[in-house]
Amino acid sequence: MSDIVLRDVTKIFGDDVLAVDEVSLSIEDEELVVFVGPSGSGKSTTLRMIAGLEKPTEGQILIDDEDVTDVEPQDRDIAMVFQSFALYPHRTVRGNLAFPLEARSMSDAEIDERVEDAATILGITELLDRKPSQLSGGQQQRVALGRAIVRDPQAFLMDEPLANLDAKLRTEMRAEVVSIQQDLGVTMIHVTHNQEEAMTMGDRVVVMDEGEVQQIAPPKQTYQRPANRFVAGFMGSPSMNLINGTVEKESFTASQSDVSVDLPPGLSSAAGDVTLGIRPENVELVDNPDEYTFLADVQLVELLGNVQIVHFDLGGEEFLAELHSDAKVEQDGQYHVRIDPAKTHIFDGQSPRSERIVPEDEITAAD
Amino acid sequence: MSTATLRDRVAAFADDPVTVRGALHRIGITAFVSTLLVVTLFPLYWTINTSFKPADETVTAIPTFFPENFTIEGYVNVLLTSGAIDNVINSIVVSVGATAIAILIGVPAGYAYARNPGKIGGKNVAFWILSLRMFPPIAPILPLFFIFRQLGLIDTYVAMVLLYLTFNIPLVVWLMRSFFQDVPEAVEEAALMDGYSRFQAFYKVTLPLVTPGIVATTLLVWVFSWNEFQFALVFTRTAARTFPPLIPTLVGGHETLWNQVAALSTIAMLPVIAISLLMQRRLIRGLTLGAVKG
Repeated sequence: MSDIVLRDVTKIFGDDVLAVDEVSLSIEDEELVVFVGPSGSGKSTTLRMIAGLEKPTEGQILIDDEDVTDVEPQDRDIAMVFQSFALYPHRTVRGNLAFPLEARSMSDAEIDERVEDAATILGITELLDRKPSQLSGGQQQRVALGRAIVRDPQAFLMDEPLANLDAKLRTEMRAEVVSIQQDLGVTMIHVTHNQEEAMTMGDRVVVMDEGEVQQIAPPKQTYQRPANRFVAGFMGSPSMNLINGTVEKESFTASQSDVSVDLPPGLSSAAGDVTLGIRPENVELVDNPDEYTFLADVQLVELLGNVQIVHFDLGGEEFLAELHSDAKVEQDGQYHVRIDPAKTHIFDGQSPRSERIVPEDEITAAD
Repeated sequence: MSTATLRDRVAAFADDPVTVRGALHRIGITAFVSTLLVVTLFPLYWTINTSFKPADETVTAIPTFFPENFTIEGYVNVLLTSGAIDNVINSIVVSVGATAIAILIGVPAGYAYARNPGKIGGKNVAFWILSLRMFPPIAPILPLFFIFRQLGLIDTYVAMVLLYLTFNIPLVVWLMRSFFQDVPEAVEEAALMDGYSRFQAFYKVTLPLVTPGIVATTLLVWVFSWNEFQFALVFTRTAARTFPPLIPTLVGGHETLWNQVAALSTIAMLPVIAISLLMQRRLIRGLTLGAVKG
């Protein structure tokens, strides 16, 4: 078991395709870190560089303080689970599980024992003599996991291994992967484009976009205190409402609509062009307007069981509110919408990289 | 009453366009396939039939559909008296040699092209390789003849193998490239992660997966070398002469020994047919494996 360190790792494909841009991070022993980001964000490339399947253009990769930047994948003692599962179609399940052990010249008896153990952990003992083509997606997934755990590697790399499963199975396997990671006490890096997976699985989340790390933090923190506008919009579903506008005299005025609210307390440093961010669940409908309310028209109401998602129209921009399903909301109605000032974020610009302005009380708390 | 029932049945049958159309469809297909089979199989049958007749029975006014005097004298005479056994041995040496070398060179080359598209010789090189098979073989015969004569290679195994390699290697590279492309790279990467070197990953994982493709390719290449006529005619005299150019020499001005021609033709066809039938399953899998992306 081991820790993994990346120092200013950059990957350029061909002459000019910058896939990963100076990524530095440190993953501790027995930690489960999730790389999350949209497609093309560089998360898989970063993982493949840790695996040794891609060579970094610049930078260093260390496993247990040893520089492995130029070490071949087979000598890194890392296991990887692929999105396509990448099982060996010509070998049985037993043959697939035994394959990494055969490379280590173990005795047949030891190989058999380890294969049986791994199969028991994953509940696939009955499938050992089948070929991968005779398995369902979920079973193939288990075999792929089994091939990783059977050899007790230094770290597990998971490249979107749940993406090919149906929704129900994905939720089940998510929990199973986490429990395997905890039981075995291994370092694990899990790559996904699914923010929900990142939220539920990781000890820490590395949010990536366009080859750069946007934030490294525990999942809750990326949700509650997103580092920038990109993270704010990416983490959470439905995503955060982001309204472009300007701040003047501690008052926010939207550029596209007539929304105008007071700046929440502690954010007095905000000025000029900004983005106001508020999560749909931190919005309520009130009868009496105050300094944090604005008037908006309902466009659409979606009932999701215990909650309803209300879509408001703000001068052509959509604004979502997540309300209890008992709340009386009528389509085409007009309501006073109140944002929770304590949960309102202000970003110091209108681009994805615009950073969140840290409220004064948060700075004080940190001190 | 029974008449009425019959009439009803006929009416029902006629009213049912699905049944009528289905029946016509089946009759049409059966007739078409039968005709096709007769046209393709009759020459084979006639060749084999003739090969087992004595010489005088091959020229009777009323042809016999089965040998009346069954004999293997055609085979004995063509192989031993006419000495065709040497040519058959030459054919085996040349075709097996050219096939083995083409596979040994072409398979790794196909792999390299499949895994590094655009990196080796630019993106058009694969098409350039294929284009080597497109020009008519007659075009390079004259220049090659002078080159080979200068090198003293006329009528040698080396010349024949080299000539066939010119056409076989491009075909092997092209076919194997698409077979290798069908093996996901992730499977090889999984082997790397499992602790194998790149070469081990290739022969332990990728190679077993493309075996049907290699079998199909080997057969295609071998059949080409086994049947080839034009180069063999121009570049060989006696020592390295393969059997295809020998067959027309048996057709003489005064007398044609049809049973010997048929016997040699049967010897030429049989291995191809036998191997194709034996490997039918692997062959079809191999041919479709390359064609269909899965």
